[in-house]
Amino acid sequence: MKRTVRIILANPLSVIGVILIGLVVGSAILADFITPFPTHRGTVVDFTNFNQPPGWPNIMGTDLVGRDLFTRIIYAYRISLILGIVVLLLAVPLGVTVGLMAGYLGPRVRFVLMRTTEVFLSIPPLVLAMSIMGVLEPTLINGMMAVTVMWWPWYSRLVYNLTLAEREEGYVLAAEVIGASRFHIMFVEILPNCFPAILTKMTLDLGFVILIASSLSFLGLGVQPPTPDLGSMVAEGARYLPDSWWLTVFPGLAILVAVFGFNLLGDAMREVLGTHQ
Amino acid sequence: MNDLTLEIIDLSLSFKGLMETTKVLHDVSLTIGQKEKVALVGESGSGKSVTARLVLGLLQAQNKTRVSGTINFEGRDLAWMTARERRQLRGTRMSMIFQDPVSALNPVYRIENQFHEVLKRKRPTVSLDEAREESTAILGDVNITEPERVLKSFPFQLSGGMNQRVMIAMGLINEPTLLIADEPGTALDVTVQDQTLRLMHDMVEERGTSVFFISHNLGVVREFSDRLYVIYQGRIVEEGKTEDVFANPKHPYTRALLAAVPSITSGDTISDVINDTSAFLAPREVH
Repeated sequence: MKRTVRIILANPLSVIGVILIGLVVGSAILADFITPFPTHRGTVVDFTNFNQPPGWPNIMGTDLVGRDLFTRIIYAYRISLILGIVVLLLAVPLGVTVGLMAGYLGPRVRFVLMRTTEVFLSIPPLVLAMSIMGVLEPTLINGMMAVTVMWWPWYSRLVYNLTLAEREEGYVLAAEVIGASRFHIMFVEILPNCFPAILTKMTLDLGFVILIASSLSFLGLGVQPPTPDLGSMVAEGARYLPDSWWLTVFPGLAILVAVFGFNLLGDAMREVLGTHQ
Repeated sequence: MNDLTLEIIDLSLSFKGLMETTKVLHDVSLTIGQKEKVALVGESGSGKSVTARLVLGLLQAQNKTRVSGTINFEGRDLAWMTARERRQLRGTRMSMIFQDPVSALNPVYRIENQFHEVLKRKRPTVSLDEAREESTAILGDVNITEPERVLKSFPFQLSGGMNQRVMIAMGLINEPTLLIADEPGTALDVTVQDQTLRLMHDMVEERGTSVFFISHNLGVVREFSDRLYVIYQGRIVEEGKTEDVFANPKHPYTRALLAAVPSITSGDTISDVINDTSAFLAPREVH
């Protein structure tokens, strides 16, 4: 623990990452208490106060129906984080299992699993997610599914490569020799040795999942109004540039802060866990 | 019925490539009696380790290998056992000690958990506390003075020699009848290697474990084993009691092997590399 703190403090960028993510996650959790107008996350209309530039009490201005932009951005963070975490919770176990099996179970299993993985990897991620969302109803749940489908192959690739290296280690042979089952060797012996790399990638990915989800909703394929979402806020505001600049700039900055923060945090994790590729 | 712990009869192995098959073992036959320590000596690539893996039943399942011949373990033919039965034997009736003790222990688990895992092979219901107790006892046997600290440690927190002793303890804790030692301690420095081998020698004497000792180090073999087999390019070229073979090597390859041992006392320089190896394919010599 002390070592972790020391490594993070030694690198100013890591400190910035931790602070940014602390702010993002903290504000998303405490959104009900720190936002000035918590009801504005829903279908509130206040035409006396619409499209106001930043000022007081709306520090980031108001949108086209008079809702406080700051409030909506914080609630959008909450949605984005939930989406990111759910996507990773689905994609990581799936990808990790596929990668372990492909790396350990022999050539036939490897052929089937890795070729399947490559089919998914060969389609540009956003296109894949867009085509899925085009078929399905654009809801939060379907958005999560679409992003999950494009995300797991990266984990199976990562874990596959790690497994190939780990299976040559003596402890794997030792486990085979004492008669451990293949399931035991994959999940109990090899997997824990892959954790540092997986955790690092997960931290880095949380930012990218948020970015992709925002891209989808920017195109109108993600979360639907009135649920606040950074991507759809940017899309909506883009029609009123450059006069109502705050409608796009603040949600855009919010995306930047989250993605940038998770990237810096990922780099910090890499240093702490010692997973330099 | 015989009382041999391990009996290998005419064992051949080939690996199937794309075009041709490569034969790695040619009719290898050897026996290990109860409480006997038998060494298999040869250079790298001569088929030593492959033989050990066949005994453990690790190569048979692969579809690139062709195996013929018989391996009897305690009078039962391994080929007639199911994969499950073979798996049942490993870790309980036979176990193995490795070249590099540090990498053979999983770096993410404490030693006590790894002992627990090994003990569970024999008694699936054993608790961590019981495992701790038993491992403390056996760690004492391998001259580890602070078993509590070692059990709480991760493998990378211990020295190579310490890890080697932990490996020996782990290999013997389930009281196997056959211990396969694949070049144990080659990754360690010589004094530690010597020390741990002596320890292993005493442990197996005490427990009456048969040992199948695989090595390229003649000095170690001379000290450790009762009988030895010399293997060259997948063929057994000489066999006999250790002292007989050392006193009177009959096969050209054995002689070359013995001559190749560098000595600090005799003042010789390192012997020349032998380019003409045709004599090494001469038929097997038995003492």
